[in-house]
Amino acid sequence: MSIQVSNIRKKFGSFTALDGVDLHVPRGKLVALLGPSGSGKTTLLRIIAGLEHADPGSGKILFHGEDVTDVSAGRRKVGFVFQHYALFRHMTVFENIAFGLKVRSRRERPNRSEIADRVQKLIKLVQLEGLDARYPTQLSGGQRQRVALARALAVEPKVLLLDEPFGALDAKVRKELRRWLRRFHEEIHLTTVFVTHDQEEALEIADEVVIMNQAKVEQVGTPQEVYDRPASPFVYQFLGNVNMLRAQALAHAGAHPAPAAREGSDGLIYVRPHDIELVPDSPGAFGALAVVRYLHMAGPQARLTVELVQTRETVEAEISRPQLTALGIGLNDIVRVRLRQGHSFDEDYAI
Amino acid sequence: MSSVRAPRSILPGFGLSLGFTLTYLSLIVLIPLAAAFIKTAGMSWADFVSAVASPRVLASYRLSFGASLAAGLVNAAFGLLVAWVLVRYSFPGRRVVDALVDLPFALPTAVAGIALTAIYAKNGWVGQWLEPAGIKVAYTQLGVFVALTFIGLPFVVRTLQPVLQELEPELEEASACLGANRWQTITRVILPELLPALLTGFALAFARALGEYGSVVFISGNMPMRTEITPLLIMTKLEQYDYHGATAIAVVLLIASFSTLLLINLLQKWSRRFHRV
Repeated sequence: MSIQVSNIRKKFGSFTALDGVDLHVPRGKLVALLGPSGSGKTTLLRIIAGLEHADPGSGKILFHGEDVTDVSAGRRKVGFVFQHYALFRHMTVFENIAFGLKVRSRRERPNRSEIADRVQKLIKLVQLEGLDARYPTQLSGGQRQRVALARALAVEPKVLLLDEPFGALDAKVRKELRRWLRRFHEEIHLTTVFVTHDQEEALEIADEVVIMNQAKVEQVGTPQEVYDRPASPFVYQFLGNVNMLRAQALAHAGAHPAPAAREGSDGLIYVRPHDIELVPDSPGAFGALAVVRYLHMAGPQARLTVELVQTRETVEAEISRPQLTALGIGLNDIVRVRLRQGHSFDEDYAI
Repeated sequence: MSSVRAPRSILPGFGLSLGFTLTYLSLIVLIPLAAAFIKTAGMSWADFVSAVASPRVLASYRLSFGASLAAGLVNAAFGLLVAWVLVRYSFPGRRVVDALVDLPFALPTAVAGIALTAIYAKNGWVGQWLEPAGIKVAYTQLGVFVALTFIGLPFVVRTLQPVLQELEPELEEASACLGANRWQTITRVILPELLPALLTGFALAFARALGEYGSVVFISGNMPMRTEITPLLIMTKLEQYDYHGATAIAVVLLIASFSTLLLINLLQKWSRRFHRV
């Protein structure tokens, strides 16, 4: 089922959480709402779920073309997974998952054995076989989150909403679980929206990423689109490390082709660390002169911090370790900096 | 000679603090209570039985336990409501109401007893309206129950408040998303979460009511066989220099309250079965 959000506004006191947000989530897609804390992403998710209501006079929420703006959370047929699981502590895994079925009115409630069947299927689906009699406190964080997911799926929702689902887990489990979520999504193809502040997570598993900042949507696109063609300096900075350098100075040094000087431009060029090229200084070499200030070697890539001689700007660079060895660059060496590619938000100029 | 030393703890003073705790508990709790048992042990079995099982004493047990139980239950229900209102809603005067809850703790119980009697007597503020309806409060068993309810309220409210504050709103939201209505959310999600604290509050209110003396003696009228509570009976025996009789009843009361509290503790353990193991 597709989700259409149009012109939603929400204020908490004097704080604007959502400022006229529009969003379309196509049917069967896995969409990430990505943004820093306070950007409104969780509020938007909660409004889609019906846990929060948009300010009066603002727009609508449509599920598959049907207006659900005034429909209560319980009747929207959404599955909601909370960051801190919100499992019922006094119920076993089985009882937690069965809850949504057991609270139905007698007419709609499946009978005991049907409930048991469905719960067992879900337990299998989230790979928690044999743990159905455990209480939530007897499970690990990752297991708890999967119980929460199974509980949300038990009521056969049309839409699955996850609020920072992996936020409370440690790094390794988080990676495993998000890949598992991706595979899981490919199996069941349920329209899914998840909130995250982790750009890596969003870029890795989402079909489409919605980047939010200060109560507004900054950009919507596939992970590759938003990474390669960021729509704003904010998006550029938010999706990974970036160097912001004064374009003119670099051009004079021959580090990249000269931009046309433009009135009113910020004159900055945005470059990812892996797009920085370093060469040892030698007669005839071109590029901006710089001194290597830090060398960080733990990890697959060597990370260097160099200081430009002319402007004293620091530049972060990432090159592979064999390449670093081949170049023979060490601490405090003089190097020349060139840009493989960069991005400028001045109109129609990019290199 | 080799000495075996316990592994050094980062928090020193275990021996000292435990020693102090034991000494303190002995002086304040254990020795006075043991004295009651020792005094009672000097009685013959027949004397003991006649002291603790005479019809007048049995009637006082019934009243004391019955009224304390009823007061505890009523406090559990209304204390939950008060705690809920104080935690969940913000309204003008909330802090005043919050402070009011503690009054029964601080007020001398005799004052409470006299005030309640004045209000519920047949010419009192409340009593004058109840009297025509045929409800007598002052000088009846109902009066005992009213006094015990009054002094027990803060125990339930104060044990529940922090637990209610900690209760995640997400639990209710999760329940609502899963299609539960408000009533189902309260009975199936919130109440089970609160049960351990509710039992603690109930146990405290009950225990307090069982030992209450000051407020009850004013409102009950102290008629033997009808409105005489057990602590009063002990007092009466003491005034008649019947020390053995008094301690014997005290021992029965002690054992009974101890077993009741033990039972409630077991219940609590059961209601907390889902906590970390």
